[in-house]
Amino acid sequence: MAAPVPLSAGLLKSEQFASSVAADDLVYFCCSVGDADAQVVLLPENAAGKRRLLIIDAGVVKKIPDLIDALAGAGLVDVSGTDPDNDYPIAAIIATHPHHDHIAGLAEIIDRFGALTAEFWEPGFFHTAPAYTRMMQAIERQPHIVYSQPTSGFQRWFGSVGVTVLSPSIQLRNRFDTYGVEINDSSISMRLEYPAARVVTHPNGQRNYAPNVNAARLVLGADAQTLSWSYVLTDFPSLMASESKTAKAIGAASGDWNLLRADVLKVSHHGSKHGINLELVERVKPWVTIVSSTDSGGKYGFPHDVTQALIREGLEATTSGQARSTDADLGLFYTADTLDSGEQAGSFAVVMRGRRRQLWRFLDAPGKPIVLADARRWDG
Amino acid sequence: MQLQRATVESDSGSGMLWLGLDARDEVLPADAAPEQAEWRPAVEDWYVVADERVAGAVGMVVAPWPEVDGAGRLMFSEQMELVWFREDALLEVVDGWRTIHDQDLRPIRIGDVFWVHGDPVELGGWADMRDVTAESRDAAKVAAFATAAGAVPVEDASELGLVRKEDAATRREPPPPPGSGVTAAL
Repeated sequence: MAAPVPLSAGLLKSEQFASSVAADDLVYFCCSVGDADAQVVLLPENAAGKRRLLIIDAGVVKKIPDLIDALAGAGLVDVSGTDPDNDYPIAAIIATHPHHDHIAGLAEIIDRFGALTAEFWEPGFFHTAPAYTRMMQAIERQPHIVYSQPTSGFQRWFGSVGVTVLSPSIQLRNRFDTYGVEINDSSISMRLEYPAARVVTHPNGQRNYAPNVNAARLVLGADAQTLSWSYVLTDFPSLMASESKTAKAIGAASGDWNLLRADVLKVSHHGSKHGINLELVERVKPWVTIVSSTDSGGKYGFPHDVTQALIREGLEATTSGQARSTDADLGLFYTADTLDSGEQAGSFAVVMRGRRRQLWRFLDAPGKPIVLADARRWDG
Repeated sequence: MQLQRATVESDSGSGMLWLGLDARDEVLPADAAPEQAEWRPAVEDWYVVADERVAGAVGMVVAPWPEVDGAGRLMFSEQMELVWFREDALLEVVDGWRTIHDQDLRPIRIGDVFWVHGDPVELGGWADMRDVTAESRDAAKVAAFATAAGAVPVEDASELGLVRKEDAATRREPPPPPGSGVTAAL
């Protein structure tokens, strides 16, 4: 790959991150961890006024615990274990698939936060890697944790945030143990929607059904590859292009005519050339597209030039000879981004509520903790 | 390059090394080659697993050979390293050792596990190797199912209809005779 064009430091405004996060904001963190993945979702306050977290992969040991400590220190979540109204502030730990670069840090996280964790998801792909055995044994030591192997179509609501599992398809799941499925294609990819609420109450006691066309949505691609996405594109069809009665009925029932549309796309498989395709990017049509990778190809050679090109084309259809917008103008960012001042742009936070959208960077290096006070809000 | 060794700390363990092929020893024929029956891993050996394949290279996770704790769980240390080999060079070395030890030759698959004696991060440093993939896959299933559905004491296993994998294999119904009109289950 070509190293990302440095971002203009002048477009990153130094502002107070923690105090800017409102009680009903959803915050998605994509950590800068080099050739790996580590993500956290800070859920909006629930009806009891409590925040919870989703932890999605941890390819390294320290980054996520450090982030959780920082969020707790800023009063954005309570993981002290002393709040009787919030027994499980970690709503779920999700191991998208058992590759080393996604789960190497999870055993330590489960050992530390397991007593505060309600659920654990993984795809059910038996892997012989030591990190997989260590992770499963850590879950075994926490028998209160609800353990699930979700497949496509599974929906779970964490307060007002809805999670739809896009992959793996059950058709892939049922042949995991036959060597018929590449391990990346076992990935749990998800679409998060906030608010998932569809009902409005009125002072007179009435309740109305109210589809929310302005909900904030994220598609988190894990390491799903072409085969897995082929099932996703059929399991979650585009209804917008169809005027059929069936399409209209499904759209009316779900309040959601495009089942893959999202504001944020976390690109699958670090930008591998097998990790994503043009049609998927066109279907998602994100406001911000995030690639978790190094800036020099790293151990895996990601992101691939081919993938960068198709993402750009998916975000901005062009004809021959037409000038291409910059990645930053397209909303295409990398954890390996640098600034024209020479600093690393570092980890991401995306703050979302209704139509409110904010993108933040933390200027941290892969081996360093996120410092909330270093946050810069993207003003591009 | 030689990796540094770390002491395995098991929370409830006896600190015994996983014997890997021991499970296979139980079903080895009486006339098995002596080196096959007597093979045992040592504390300085390595567990090497194929984790990822990218553009002709295979990422191998290298870890100290695991111990088994008092509850029969494989205990890996926190020490793990990802190293990359060209797939053709890796396969040449692997198949060389498989040939010496009369193990099946086949392409590298993600999830393949090798016991390695010597320096695991350089193919030229592999002084000996055994393919322990089958045993390791069973161990991975043990880790997953123990988490999902718990473990059953052996005294209750028979009543619940649980049988060992080897026993289940020998109990498989024979195929129906040709022309019987019955289709064999695969």
